[in-house]
Amino acid sequence: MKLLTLSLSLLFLFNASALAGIMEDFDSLGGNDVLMDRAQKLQPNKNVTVVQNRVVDRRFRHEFNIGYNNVIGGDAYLQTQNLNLNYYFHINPRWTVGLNYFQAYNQLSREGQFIIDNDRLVPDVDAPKSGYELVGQFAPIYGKINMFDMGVLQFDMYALVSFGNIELTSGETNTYSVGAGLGLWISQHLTTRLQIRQRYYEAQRFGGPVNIETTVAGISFGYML
Amino acid sequence: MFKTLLTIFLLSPVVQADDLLDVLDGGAKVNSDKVVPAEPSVFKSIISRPTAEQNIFLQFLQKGEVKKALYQWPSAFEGTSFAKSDTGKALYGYLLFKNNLKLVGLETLFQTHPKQINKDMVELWQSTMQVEDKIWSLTDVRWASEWTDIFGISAEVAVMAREFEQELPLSQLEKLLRKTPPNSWERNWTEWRYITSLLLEGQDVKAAKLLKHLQSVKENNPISTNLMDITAARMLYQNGYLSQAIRYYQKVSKKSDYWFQALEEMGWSELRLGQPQNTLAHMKTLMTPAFEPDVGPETFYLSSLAHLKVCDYTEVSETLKEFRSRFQRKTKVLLDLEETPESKAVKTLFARLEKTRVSMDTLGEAGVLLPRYSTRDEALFYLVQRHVALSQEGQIAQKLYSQSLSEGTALVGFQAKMERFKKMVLSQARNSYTASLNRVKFLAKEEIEEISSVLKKMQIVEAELIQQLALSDRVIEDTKDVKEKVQKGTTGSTSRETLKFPFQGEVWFDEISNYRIDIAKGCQAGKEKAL
Repeated sequence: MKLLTLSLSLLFLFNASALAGIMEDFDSLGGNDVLMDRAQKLQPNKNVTVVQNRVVDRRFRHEFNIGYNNVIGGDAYLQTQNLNLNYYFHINPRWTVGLNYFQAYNQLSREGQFIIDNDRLVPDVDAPKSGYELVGQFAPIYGKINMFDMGVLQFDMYALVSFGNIELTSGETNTYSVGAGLGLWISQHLTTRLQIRQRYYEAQRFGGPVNIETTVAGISFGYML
Repeated sequence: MFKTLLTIFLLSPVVQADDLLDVLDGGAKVNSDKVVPAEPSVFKSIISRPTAEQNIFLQFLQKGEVKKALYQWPSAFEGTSFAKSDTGKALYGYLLFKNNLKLVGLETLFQTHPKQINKDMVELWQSTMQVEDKIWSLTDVRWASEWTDIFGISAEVAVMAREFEQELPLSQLEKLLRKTPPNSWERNWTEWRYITSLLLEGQDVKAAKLLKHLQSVKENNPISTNLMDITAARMLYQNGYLSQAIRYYQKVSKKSDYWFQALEEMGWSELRLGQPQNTLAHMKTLMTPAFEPDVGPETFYLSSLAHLKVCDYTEVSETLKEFRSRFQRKTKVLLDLEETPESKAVKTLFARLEKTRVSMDTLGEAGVLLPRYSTRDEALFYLVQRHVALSQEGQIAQKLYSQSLSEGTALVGFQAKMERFKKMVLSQARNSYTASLNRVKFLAKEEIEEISSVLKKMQIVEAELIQQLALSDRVIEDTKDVKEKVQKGTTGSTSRETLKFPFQGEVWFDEISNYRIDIAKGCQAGKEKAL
């Protein structure tokens, strides 16, 4: 019995010392900072980058898109809003070409209404009715957004140019625009775009043709095939 | 020649050349199980001259009143030679089984010698088990070849599948392979065990050939593609095919539990290929604090070696400190688990394992308080699942006992017998719980040993660090006029369209495993070279 007690005690002591040993070994690790100033002389130059996949592949893909635009500026007597139907063909993540058709909805601005109500005059406006154009986009900048820690959305910022026809009250004329946009690639199929551009065209007034410059800002939602 | 064969088999389409592969592809004939209908009249043939009490028992059984038959058992058979015989034990097991004490019943049957059991009784068990095949994976029985004749090869493989500790001999596995039906999970599982045994025997070429075959099996394959890929990668790594190994490591899915190991082992391959910058990129991912429960000490050792290789002594020192902080804490946790394994975290783990398999990341904070492999330890999963089944049977036994107070026979001492029976079932449930806790202790002990072994290696790294620092002036002198060297990393996305972001210390989860590290003037003096 005594022998058993002795053996158990020795076993316990051995175990306890082994455990204490591993903890002590930890304590002594990484404590040599004396020579570390020498380390700086050989310190390598290290560059860490994140190289990751595009979550949404945009090489040779078709996108159909519907959007709403508000037209700012241009004719002071008009308030114009557009509904857009777009088709984009993504050649690759940088280059996209597309077609845009828009239908304009006009109403008199407060100034326009004021002229009618107070001065009994009809405002001299040439309201846009609809239009279609060819669009080209180049996306040199990309980034991503942390959506409240629920997920990460990748986006591209692009420059755009367009050229096409606009139908005004007075008839059809050419139009072109330049602008920029932000494409958010929500999933493999769903897209959202925020876009702002400057549109140029020539309108007809009583006094002759005038150049119109409008700012068109809008949001659109798309489905990528 | 040997190595060439290995790569040919692993990297080429399926090659089938020998008898065994013919068998694997369905050439060999196998026995199909015959269906035996259950027949209550067999009971009479089992007991030739029944006593009055035995007649009552038999009538209950024939009417399907199994609960009453169980209550009648002690008065009918206790102390008789029949009860002690193999047929008697098989009948008692059957009775338990029919009272929903399935595990206890089946394990009672396995206490007998199959050859000694009455033929009708054997057929009765056969018919019962043909519809109860899932229970095999929870049993704790010793399989004798005679049982295969009774219950078929599926049952044998299911029982073998949970013998985790024991490595089955190649000859036995070969026999099993020839017996199992083609395209069945039994065949595929046996093939996997055969492959692992071949690897242990050092027969890598044959193992590679079979692994390639198993990888092509899509139906009824119980082995995950990730496990097969990491095994193939390891085979290639062991034989020095590092680049090919990396290709297989890359196939392991990020969602898999093997991904952490794959990344670490890929890091070793990169280091041996002389690309420490790539190793460091993998280590950057693994050392993310969120992965603490999944990442072992070896990762830190590898990281410190890779830093040492590029003379990034500051980082070596930081790694040593981080190792100390993280694994001293973990060792304390594991030592406590070895002492008292029934911790809150272990209870959380058991509660989850009772329902289904779990991965470490779903355990949240409990993960760091558990042995690293506890979520994917097959033995632990089996023990917990077995405990669940036995606990349920314990409750059934409890209910049977309670009901026996009013429904049982009026025989003197009957209640005491029923209580003994209940205690026996409950104690089996308790034992299975203790076995689960012991498994946790074992896993904790294994991990402590692993940490202790890596700790020794880290001490060597520290000694190496001191030695290299002492020689740094000499290195500076020798490399003053040497052209600056840039080691460009190749990790991260390799697709045609990539996004590149500078890493500024903030960890984004979508960036994990997409780090790329370029190193300039590693172990060289001179001005910093722009990257």
